[in-house]
Amino acid sequence: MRLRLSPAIGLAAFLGVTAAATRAQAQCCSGYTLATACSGVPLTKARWCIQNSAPTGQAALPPAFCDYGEKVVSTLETVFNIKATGVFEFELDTQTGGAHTGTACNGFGAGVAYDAFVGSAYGATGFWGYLLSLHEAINVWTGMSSSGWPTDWWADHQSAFPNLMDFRIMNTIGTSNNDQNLLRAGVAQKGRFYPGGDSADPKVVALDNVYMAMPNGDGFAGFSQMFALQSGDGVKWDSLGVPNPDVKRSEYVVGFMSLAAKQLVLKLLQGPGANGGGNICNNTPDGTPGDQPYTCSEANINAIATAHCAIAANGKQTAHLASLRSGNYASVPSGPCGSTCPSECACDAANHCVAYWLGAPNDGGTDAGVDAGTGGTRGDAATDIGSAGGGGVAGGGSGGRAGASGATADASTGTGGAGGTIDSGRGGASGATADAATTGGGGTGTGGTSGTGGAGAGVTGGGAGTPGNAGTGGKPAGDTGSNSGCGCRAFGRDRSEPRAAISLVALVMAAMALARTRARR
Amino acid sequence: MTAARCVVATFFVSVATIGACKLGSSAAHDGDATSTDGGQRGCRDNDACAADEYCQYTPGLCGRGSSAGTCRRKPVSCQDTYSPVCGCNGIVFDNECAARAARVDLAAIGGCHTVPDWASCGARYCDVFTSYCEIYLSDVPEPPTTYTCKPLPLDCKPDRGTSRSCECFPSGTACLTFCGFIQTGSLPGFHLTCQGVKEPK
Repeated sequence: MRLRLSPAIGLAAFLGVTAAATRAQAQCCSGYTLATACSGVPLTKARWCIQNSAPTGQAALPPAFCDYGEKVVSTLETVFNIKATGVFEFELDTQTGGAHTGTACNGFGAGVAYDAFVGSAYGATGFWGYLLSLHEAINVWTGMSSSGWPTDWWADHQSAFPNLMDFRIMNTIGTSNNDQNLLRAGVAQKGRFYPGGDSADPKVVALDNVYMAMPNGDGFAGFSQMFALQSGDGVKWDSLGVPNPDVKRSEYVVGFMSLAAKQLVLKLLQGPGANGGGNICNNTPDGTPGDQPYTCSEANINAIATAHCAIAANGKQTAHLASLRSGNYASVPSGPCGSTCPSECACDAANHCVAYWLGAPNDGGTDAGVDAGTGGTRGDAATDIGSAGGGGVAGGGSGGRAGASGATADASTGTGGAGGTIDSGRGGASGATADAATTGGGGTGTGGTSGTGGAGAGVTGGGAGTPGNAGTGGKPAGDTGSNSGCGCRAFGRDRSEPRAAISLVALVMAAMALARTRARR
Repeated sequence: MTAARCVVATFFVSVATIGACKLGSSAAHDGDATSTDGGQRGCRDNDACAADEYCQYTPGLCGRGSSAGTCRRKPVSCQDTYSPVCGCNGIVFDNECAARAARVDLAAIGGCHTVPDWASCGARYCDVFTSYCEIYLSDVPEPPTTYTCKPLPLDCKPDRGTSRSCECFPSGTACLTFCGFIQTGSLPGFHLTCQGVKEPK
């Protein structure tokens, strides 16, 4: 059935977009003028303003940045789970070489020196303009989320997370806009921090490994979930009663990161991991005088994550939350398994709601497996080869932990890696799964030894992978690609919110594209 | 402490950490300003401070940051040394002491007009004949982005030739990956900017 929109609705929609665009094009700070390069681009979330004294005048801003700014804001809203407080003003400052958060009139935005937007670096035109405008915007959102991130590995002195977000977001927007120049910039920025780069940093690589280990290989959604869980518990790192840096502070951050990943990510952070990632929480000195190295405790991280689960299972009682927020996670009583046990948690053998990775495998129940292997990691560049996917967690009463996912590769020439093998569930048979590569060669799943074969599932579209080989016995194959889980997990809350947010962003982008098409006409 | 030493101090020392120069007879008053009850007094502007004090912000965002400033005694006299700085009121002062004496704090991210032959470098200006501006960008919402005037390598000095290029810096120079010019209205200066890497302590 084809939908017909009435002219009135169409006009209203058009006017709505136009009005929003007008808001975004509102007044720049005194001494700055709206970039004429963006005059034909309907912008609703960001505006570009050039300082009147810029030597290159209006020529300072290439048109490609107009839409880039818009998508930077949209992406950060999704990743951080925090809406912009207004139209974000990107300013091109006359002062050379610098960048800063805030606008010239103390507004919502950031300033970058005008000379960052012209010229080439690392084979990409405007490399520094793309990077610094994004980086400052990330700083703004970081400030809106929470302060007190570990200075020895997250941000402030060591910049692993902002650096990771820089190249991941550049790559995402470059792909969305089919902007090869921006893609080159993103690949170059990533290369700076990977082995052999001019700013090689194992911590950046370690966080990138965590990014790829997030459910379905969707690092944006994973970190977004992490921020949401932290915010939902009202945990502020600076309220833990410890200095910065400090082992407990890091264990808390790793705990919430692991909850979002639905697996303990400590070893990915400690390393050595893929591409040499590591040096976080493994007693490596951070090079800052006075900072003492430390090793994070897996047991403590498990306890912190389980405290989060227990608090939810007990109905989020104020006293329990206060304990978690003040660093006294050990005093949080255990929580029962049941409908209040959230999806980032699971049930243990004692029927307590615990961190997902601590949940006991099911004992051969009757539920069908519903949780396919998580997506494999994805390579960025055209020639990258996706690395092997992490083991997926098969839900269902018949399976315990199961199915590994096929690796994936983003670009057309990328080749998906082979699917991993499965672990048999305790008691019952586990469903074998193999996620397909997104594009390029499909991954091949390996069947469970005693489970039922599960179909391969693409993570983000593209070529289908080879379904996992069927095992023997067990229950019928589980669904692929969904995220619910075992006994407790089946009752858990569906993680649909991030998807909804992403869908909303996609809807907004579609509306903008429609408006742009109209404008061209 | 003399004004000459103050100028020297602007080299190698970051804007974020340097604090007020101790000048002339003001040296005795240059510690943390105290209120009559002996404690430090917070401020958002000069109105919150005594007539012989000014509001100094940390970081130097001229009152726009999340933290309140601190009332500090203004200098009572300054040496006649030229080492321009950018004040929070948008005016370029001959030196830091002159700005303080006028009860004006320094603008950490600059924003004042150009000064011939002096390259804007955060709140300060670098003498383009002898120095360049090294910048370590922050990765948190407010500065500690640091701006430092560093001595120019010999091959980069203007008297070494007419053409100025970033290639005059030896390979391995910190922050060389983002090198560019700072317009001054006459001879341009250099900036070398680091992003995403830790500033050496």
